[in-house]
Amino acid sequence: MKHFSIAPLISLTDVCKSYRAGRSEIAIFQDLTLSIDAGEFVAIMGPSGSGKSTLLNMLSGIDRPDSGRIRAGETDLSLATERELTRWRAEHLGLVFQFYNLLPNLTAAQNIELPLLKRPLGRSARAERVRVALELVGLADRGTHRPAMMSGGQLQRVGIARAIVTDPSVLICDEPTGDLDRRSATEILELLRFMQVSQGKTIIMVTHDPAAAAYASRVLHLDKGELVPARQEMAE
Amino acid sequence: MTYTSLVLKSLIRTPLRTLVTVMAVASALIVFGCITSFMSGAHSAENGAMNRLVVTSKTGAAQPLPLTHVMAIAALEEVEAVSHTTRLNTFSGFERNFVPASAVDPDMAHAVFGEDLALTPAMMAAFTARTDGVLVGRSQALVQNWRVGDRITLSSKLYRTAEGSRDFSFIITGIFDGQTVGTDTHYVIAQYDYINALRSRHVDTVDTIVVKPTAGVRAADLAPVIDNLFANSSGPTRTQTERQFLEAFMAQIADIRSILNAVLLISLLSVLLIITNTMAAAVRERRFEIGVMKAIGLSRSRIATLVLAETVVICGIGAAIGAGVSYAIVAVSDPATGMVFDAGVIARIIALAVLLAGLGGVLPALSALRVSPIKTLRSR
Repeated sequence: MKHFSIAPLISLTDVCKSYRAGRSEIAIFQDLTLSIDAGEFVAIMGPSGSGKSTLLNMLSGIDRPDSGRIRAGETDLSLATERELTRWRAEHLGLVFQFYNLLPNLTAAQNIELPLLKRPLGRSARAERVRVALELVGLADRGTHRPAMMSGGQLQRVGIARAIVTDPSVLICDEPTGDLDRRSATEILELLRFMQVSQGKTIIMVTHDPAAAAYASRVLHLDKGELVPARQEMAE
Repeated sequence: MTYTSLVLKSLIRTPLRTLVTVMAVASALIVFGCITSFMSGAHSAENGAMNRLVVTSKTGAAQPLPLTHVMAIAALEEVEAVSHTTRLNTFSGFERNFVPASAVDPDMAHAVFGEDLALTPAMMAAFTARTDGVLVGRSQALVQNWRVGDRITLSSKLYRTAEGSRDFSFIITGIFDGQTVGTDTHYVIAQYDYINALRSRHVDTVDTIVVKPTAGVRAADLAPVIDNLFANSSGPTRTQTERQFLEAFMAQIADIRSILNAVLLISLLSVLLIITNTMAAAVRERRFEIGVMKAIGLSRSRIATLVLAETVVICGIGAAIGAGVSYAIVAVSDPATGMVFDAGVIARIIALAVLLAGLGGVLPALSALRVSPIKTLRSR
């Protein structure tokens, strides 16, 4: 697995996004501008409805801005076709979900291997990558376990292993500790920080938990679709 | 893990549903296999040659023709060989044990049908060595458990001897297999002179005359020449190709074929709906997982292909079971049914399975294509 990969600099410029609810249109972002450097660990905090998930979805390329530009390295996500976005996600992005989103009929190792199926890798090369990923998340002996046989913390480790197995430059984590007890949450956050520090990953994490946000090198506070100073967001 | 194992894992996730769907496909293909075996078998009009002509009485195939017609046709330049047959409408032992038998001139029949029936010179020599000799088709011999050398008695519903008996005694001198597996071998060939000498009515008449045109002469051109030859005689004729003749014969059971086709169509439509419904339900249940797979980088087309592949596997297993059971049914069925399970039937089963998989899988695959990762992820 490659250390200190050359990560894209992610930048949002004048991004606007709104959703239609019945006849009315709800604006989420208006001229949002933001940049994230390679190798950063950024936490995004904010109350429900502040636009955290929408921001993550746009950064992941599974949602598009109405206007403005989102660039990730050399790729302009706002102009890319769906096929290009899918390829970009497969090559550069690892996604970690709050509820793990593992396939229940596959073992931990098979879940981790899933994103590799698209790669031109032989079976043994894929198995080796899965082994390394399992080792990195401390589950070397759990590869054959199915999700139903694992604890929440272990499931999230499998989720992280699945996210890193393709050696992406960016990890996007949507409340990765939201469903975990404090001890498991701490282990997962330590693991994410390890990925940033020793693997050179850029980590963007949405969280409600200030203790989790404390692991980040930078914390962004969102409120009503705008970046606000920490104190103002906290006061609300 | 491979895409193939991913497909198989999805299928065994709901084993009962997969099993039921596979059996539904297999059932439909068994019906299809048996009906196709019947239609492509010995009763098929396709066995009739396009280059041979069949001459019957213009007033109907049941009306006999004078034997002199045979000589007149044989004398035509455009005719290479000619043969005639006389149906005996016989049974063996009891009336329901129907044994189709026809009386022919051995040499003439050999010249016209020898190749098709795979009649060897030795077989013909034994056949003509005695006037009461008969050749029995393999299928009929198996049903009746007859062997070469057996003396058999066939009772005719059409003819009686001068003494009033309808029983005709024969010696089996040979058993013929036919050139191909599809050749009808469910009948008996007797000698015309023997029957003609014994029967008390319709002496010196024949039922049908089969004509083999000279090389280069089109059967369709020869037919009116023959009919014109007898237009003003006491026995006007109707000449058509052998295939047309058989098709006319088959038209008598056309209603049955129509019903069979209707049953087949309905069963195939039913199974198509079952496949579509099953796969659509599978996609509906896995919407979230499909959304996740798209989010982590699996392309839309790849996911649609996985859904289609599941349908292909279901239909493939169904086709294998369907073909196997159809083969078994044909193998144990009464040869009189004329069913033939050959490579053509297998090819048609495979083609139908591919069609079912394609049609049954396309809507669920499109449904999987349309799954939006953002909507599914938001739904949690």
